[in-house]
Amino acid sequence: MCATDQSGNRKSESYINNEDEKEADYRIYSVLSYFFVLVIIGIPVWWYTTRVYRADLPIEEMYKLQSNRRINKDFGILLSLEYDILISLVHPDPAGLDIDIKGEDIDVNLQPFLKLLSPIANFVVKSQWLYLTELGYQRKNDDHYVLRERQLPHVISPLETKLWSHLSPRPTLNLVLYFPHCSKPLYIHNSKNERVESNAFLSPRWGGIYILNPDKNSCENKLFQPDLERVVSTFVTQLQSLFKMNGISKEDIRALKISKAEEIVASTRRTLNSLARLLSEINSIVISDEVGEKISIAVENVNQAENFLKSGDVDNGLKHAKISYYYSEEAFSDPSLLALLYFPQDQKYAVYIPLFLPIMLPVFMSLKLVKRWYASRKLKKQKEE
Amino acid sequence: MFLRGTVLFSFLLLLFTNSCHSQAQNFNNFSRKVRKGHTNNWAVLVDTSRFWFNYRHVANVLSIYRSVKRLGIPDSQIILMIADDMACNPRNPRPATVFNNANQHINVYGDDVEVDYRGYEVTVENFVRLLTGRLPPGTPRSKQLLTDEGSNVLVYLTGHGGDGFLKFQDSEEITSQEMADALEQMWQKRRYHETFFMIDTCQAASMYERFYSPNILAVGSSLVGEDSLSHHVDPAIGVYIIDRYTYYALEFLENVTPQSNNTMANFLKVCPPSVCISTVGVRSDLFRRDPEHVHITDFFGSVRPINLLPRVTNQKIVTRKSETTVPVTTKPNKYRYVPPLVNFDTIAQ
Repeated sequence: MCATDQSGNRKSESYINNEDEKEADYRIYSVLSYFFVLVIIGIPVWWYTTRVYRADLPIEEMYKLQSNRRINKDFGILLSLEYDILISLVHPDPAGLDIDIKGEDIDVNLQPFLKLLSPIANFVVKSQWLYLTELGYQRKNDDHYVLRERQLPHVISPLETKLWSHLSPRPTLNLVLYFPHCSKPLYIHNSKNERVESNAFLSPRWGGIYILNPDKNSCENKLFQPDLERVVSTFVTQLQSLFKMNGISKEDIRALKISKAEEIVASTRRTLNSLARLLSEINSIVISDEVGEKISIAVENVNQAENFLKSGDVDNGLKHAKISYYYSEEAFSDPSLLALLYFPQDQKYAVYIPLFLPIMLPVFMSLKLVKRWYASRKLKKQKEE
Repeated sequence: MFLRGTVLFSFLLLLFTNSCHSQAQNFNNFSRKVRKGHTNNWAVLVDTSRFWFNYRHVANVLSIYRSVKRLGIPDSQIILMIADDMACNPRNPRPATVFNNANQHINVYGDDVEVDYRGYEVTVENFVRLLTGRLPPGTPRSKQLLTDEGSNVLVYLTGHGGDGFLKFQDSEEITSQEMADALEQMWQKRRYHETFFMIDTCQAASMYERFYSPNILAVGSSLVGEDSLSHHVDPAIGVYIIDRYTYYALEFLENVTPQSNNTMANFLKVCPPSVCISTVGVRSDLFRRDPEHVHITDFFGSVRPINLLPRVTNQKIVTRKSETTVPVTTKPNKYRYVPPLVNFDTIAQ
């Protein structure tokens, strides 16, 4: 409201000036308070609430765990703390021949060997019968049939489609016992076209196949009783070969335990190392507290296992190695460790910038006003002095 | 005023650049000694598009599925993801069938097709979880990719794509960076020995541009900026039946048997621009071996390494016959006869 009176004008001017000054002060205080709330409090709160939650991790320790073990040239068996052994008895001609053998018999006789291996893994033995299934790729050679060595790689795949060995969470070792037709005895020939005495072969990581031909007498009587000792011996030899053991003496078992413990420790270190690298590279993976805890347990145990192995205490080293392997695997394959698919970092800014920028612009622009006001106040103070 | 604006802008720009992904070129991984040969083969075949007019994508993936099965990979090692059901679609004039050719000789949706992820289960999240192995604990085994260090994996994707992304289900997309990250996580966890990445979409080459993990050979049906085209229409069914690149790839695979010595180099040359119209893109810089020396069956078939058993060490047996304990329980007799309240024999006159 403007007053028209001259003196009144001046009076109102000074009144207005006083009011102006007070209003200017309040205006400046409001700008400063906006600035304080939005920038000093708001931005840190926004940053904190939209950050990816990451539990504390011993990242440096994990990086230090570089594996320095030389890798073996050939593939050994798949590394796991538990295995399934599936004994498949394949009989293509059930109408023509009765076979008197049971999976349980083979299982009972395999147990002594499996007990020797129990420190390194647990074994679950299953068995099944497959009828009317043949092995392909046989060539006739006078009165018997022949499987040549170079055809053996192609034998396993068609057989595997019928084996159903994938119904358990543990890796499977297949032991197949094949009974050829009475009229078509089958032998394996090696690359030099000589008959292989054991009539068995194996595939690393998959398992082994043993071809047991029924003899003439059994064929005539229509009842075949396989030599259980021969079957069990072949299977045990195949298992030994799969586990890369030279024998079953005490030294061999100890060597196996040492090599397994070292393998487990190397695998755990690799897992933790790659986990550390992944979590540092991809910033948008959430690390929950459980995962952080599992990683700490794994790191602790792998160091303990290392120390035990160095001092020669194989059993304790193996025990701690197994614990660390279990926890590191759990941590790595935790379902919550998925990169935030639809909320990557740059899109986070793309969402919030249109929200905050229009608010921030006037606040930052009015800082100029604050500076001018502060300068004028200083001048007024100087004038008053 | 202008100065303040530029200061603000540069401050915001700084925030942006700090958040971009740092693509660590892990070429030091090449120096890590990798074992020769592989021990098993897996295939991940994905069709990402739904709706009736995308019939050809389902036919694509089912045809590749048939070829891969014929060459020896068992169903337990094939993950088949199909986003929509064409065989039982109400618009299908030949119900319960999916054909990949206008002459309708082969029904690719036969009796033995095992689809692991069907319909709405085919999502970007499920695909990434499948590749990285981070599935929830109760997931059935047929839905898990249980590869290991010695597995050669064939990844085949088909659908609608664009520059740097692949469209899933018409509602979401997977970017090339996410694909590269998923494959890198597979490499870190030693979940593949070698990967062959095939993609048949528009601008397919953009999907493999960002790969940085070793031992991947990638082929795409078109380069960035080009569209992949479909092959021919079936007037009886009313939709395009198959895509060009897959059609010629299948023609090539029909002549491959499990014992053949055909090499990947020939496969990479399939479908020249004269027939495919789009140019087939290949990325082989991350692949350690020369495609000239790689067999087709290394990725499309399943050939296992074998060792003959030289001697058998005799093992004494414990018992000749095991005692099979069959629990025999006599059930208690829970029932007794109660005569009827009214004896109808006497009442009926």
